[in-house]
Amino acid sequence: MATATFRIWRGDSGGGAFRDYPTEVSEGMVVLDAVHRVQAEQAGDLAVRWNCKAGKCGSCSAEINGKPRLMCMTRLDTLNLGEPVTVEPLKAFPQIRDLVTDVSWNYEVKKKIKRFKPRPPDAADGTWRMQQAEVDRVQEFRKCIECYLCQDVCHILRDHHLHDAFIGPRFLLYNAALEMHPLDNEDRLQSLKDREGIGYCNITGCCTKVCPEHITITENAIIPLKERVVDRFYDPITRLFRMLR
Amino acid sequence: MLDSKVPGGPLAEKWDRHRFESKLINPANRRKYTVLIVGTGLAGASAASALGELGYNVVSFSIHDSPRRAHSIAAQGGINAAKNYQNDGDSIQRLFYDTVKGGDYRSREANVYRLAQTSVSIIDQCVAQGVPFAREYGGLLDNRSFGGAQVSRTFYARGQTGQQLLLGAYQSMMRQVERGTVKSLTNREMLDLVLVNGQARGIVCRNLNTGAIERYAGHAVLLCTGGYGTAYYLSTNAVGSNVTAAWRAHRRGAYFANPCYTQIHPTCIPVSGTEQSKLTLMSESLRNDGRVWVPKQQGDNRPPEQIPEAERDYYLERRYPSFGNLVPRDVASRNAKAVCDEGRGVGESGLAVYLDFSDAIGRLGIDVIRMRYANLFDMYTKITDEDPYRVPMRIYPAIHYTMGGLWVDYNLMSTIPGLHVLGEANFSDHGANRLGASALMQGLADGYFVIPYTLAHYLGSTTFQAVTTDHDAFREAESAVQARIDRLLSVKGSKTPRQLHRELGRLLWDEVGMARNEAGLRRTLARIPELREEFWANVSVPGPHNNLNKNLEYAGRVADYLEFAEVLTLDALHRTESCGGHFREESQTPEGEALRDDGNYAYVAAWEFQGLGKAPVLHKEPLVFEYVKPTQRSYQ
Repeated sequence: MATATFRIWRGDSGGGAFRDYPTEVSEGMVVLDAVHRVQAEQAGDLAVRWNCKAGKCGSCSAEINGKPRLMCMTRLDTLNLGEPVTVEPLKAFPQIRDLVTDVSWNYEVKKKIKRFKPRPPDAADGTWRMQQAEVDRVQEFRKCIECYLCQDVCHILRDHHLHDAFIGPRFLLYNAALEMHPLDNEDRLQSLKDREGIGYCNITGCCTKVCPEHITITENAIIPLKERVVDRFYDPITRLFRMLR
Repeated sequence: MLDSKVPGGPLAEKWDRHRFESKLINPANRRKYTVLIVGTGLAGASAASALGELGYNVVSFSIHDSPRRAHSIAAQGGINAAKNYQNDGDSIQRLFYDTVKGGDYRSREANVYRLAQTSVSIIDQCVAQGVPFAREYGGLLDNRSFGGAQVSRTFYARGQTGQQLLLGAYQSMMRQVERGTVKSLTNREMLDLVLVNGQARGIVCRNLNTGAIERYAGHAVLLCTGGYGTAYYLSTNAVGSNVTAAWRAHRRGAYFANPCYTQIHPTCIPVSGTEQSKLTLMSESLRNDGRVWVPKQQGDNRPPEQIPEAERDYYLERRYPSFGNLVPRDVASRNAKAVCDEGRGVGESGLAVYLDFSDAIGRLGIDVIRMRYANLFDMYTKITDEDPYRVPMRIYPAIHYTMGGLWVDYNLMSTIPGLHVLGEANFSDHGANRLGASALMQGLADGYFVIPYTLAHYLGSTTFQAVTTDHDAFREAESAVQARIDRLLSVKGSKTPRQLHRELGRLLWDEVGMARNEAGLRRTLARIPELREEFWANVSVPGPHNNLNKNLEYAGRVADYLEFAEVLTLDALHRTESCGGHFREESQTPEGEALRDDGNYAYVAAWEFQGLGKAPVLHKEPLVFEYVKPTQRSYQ
């Protein structure tokens, strides 16, 4: 059995430090397994949040070697175990303890987004018709597990701390899932432009890169929304048309 | 005597009649009633949204930091409904019949019939919430078939039906949060139920982030807290899922029904090593194209591709020529265990069988297989580092779902007035074995369509004393919770809760798992109190009480598994017949299949707590089959 060192951040909102934990590793292990072994053998009071261990609940988000990842889905054989593996909490949100962060800001943001509003049914029996292709488009967005790795990596939240002015990629994606839903006929463009700060996003694509569900957040969700906002509010011809009307 | 409160009249009219005869609450009065809902999976979130919409004052509690992390998201396959969109002969009557038969004739007919009736409304409700169910070429909803049925009645959303349904329920619940009818409290773990004058009037919780012990009072409590599969340590359940809320309610007087009915899913990724903390399910749909086999020779440890066709034993096809690899879950699981017990299991541990796709790839081409199963194959590769397109998968059964749960009457109310139990946490609809795609159906039926009626009836026919959280009963419950936490922290022993949980889990898996016998069950009943004693003498719970402490949360749950395991084992011991997920080696047909004993065991076993270490009292609810005639299940 081989040994690897895990450099884990210990502390709470008051501060903390990295500590090294050399531990045995074996084939097939993921980072979460190693963290659990450290917890079992060396650091009984280490706080780490997890639930499904199948990459579906979105609880075990952390930064592994500086990259936002799910601990349960990061296999050790994809990492260089010759060097210490750093494991630290998400940076875009306040810490609670050790590897656990308080992501409740996200839930507050989500509450303000206009909810799903279906169009009247297509048939007399109250049902709707739609094509699988239309379903697939929102299905991609609805794969999101709310792990908030995209929020964590987004420089507008992470480095510029514009949490009051910008809702982050996760909620642009959520807007897209609603706006592009074949049944929805709510209008969210005004709030996207004003309150939700879609203009801040400069499509660097980092969110797409870290998404564990492989959702193409930037290209499939954010850019189409930006185009809709631009069409509505910044296209000079339609602006002129509106002024004349 | 247990009164199931099943309404009179013909089966098909019972629910209508009951709804008509039930008491109602005037819309203007609903906000005067506070309903505490524990759990935010499909049952809890749907109940919160439905009751909030009606105007009740709802408080929702989640153990997670967001309702959407509940384990309902992990359900893959789909949700059954008797819509008969395919025109292939489905009906409410047929869904009812399949479910009663699939449950091996150990469920309550009236409940199952109501489930089949309400299934039809669930789909409409979910589509209106925006759930992206698959569509067929004409733009209508598509269906596929699932185990235990001869029709296509399973609605699905790619491989993530549970997640999509939960997003729908969660979104509806949050709409009510916005309206102010539902208050959502997250990071709260219910640690006790509070009774005043014998009625469930509140709960005591721990705030998992701050450690604060909190009291909440209401007029009724709804437990939507899932099953107890995690008692076995290794299961396909999320680690956060646990039995504590249900067990605490049981200790306060709610009977526990049929705990020995546990479902073991045949297609999971096998255990590897000793440090493993959780098992991963591979969808049952794989058995449509995969062939299950082991070597004919004991101890044959050649790689699978070097074992010639003639030296392989496709044991399911051999034993069950008509159903082959598609026998129900309980049968497939028991057979996998049997061949491994003979020493013919594969892999390092010898506890696995092959699920081989090479025939299907040869017949259909790799592209077709990829189209059907790519996401599952990818997941398998991610976890095992093996490529199932080239080498057979290795699979082994694992604990997956629990049909038993708190006893409830037709109104979903437990033996404690006001305490209602929904979803997997109750025992009511699946008998001794659950069919695929029926769990999502039941959770949503209970939450959206049953509880709004039956809760109103309870509230409308009950006189309530004004109770606040200053009542002595709350004080008593809180101090008991606090004392237990203090005790957990003060042991300062040398074993982690995980070690002790693993020990219990292994014991239960070996003796109260896929096959059970009297000697083993008696051994287990003797061993559990020893383990419990060791826990309280030697557990180590580091970390603070007034902050996020995962060890403390976990230790409390393990302490409850160590109590619950006793009634689970006792129930398995008392039921000397085999039925569904409960297989007693003493009761089998000459061919080795489960043999029911309808003369002696056609009843629900509901256990009443008498105190720790004391034998619980058994109450029986006789099961009467007026519409479906129990027969021996055969898949040969």
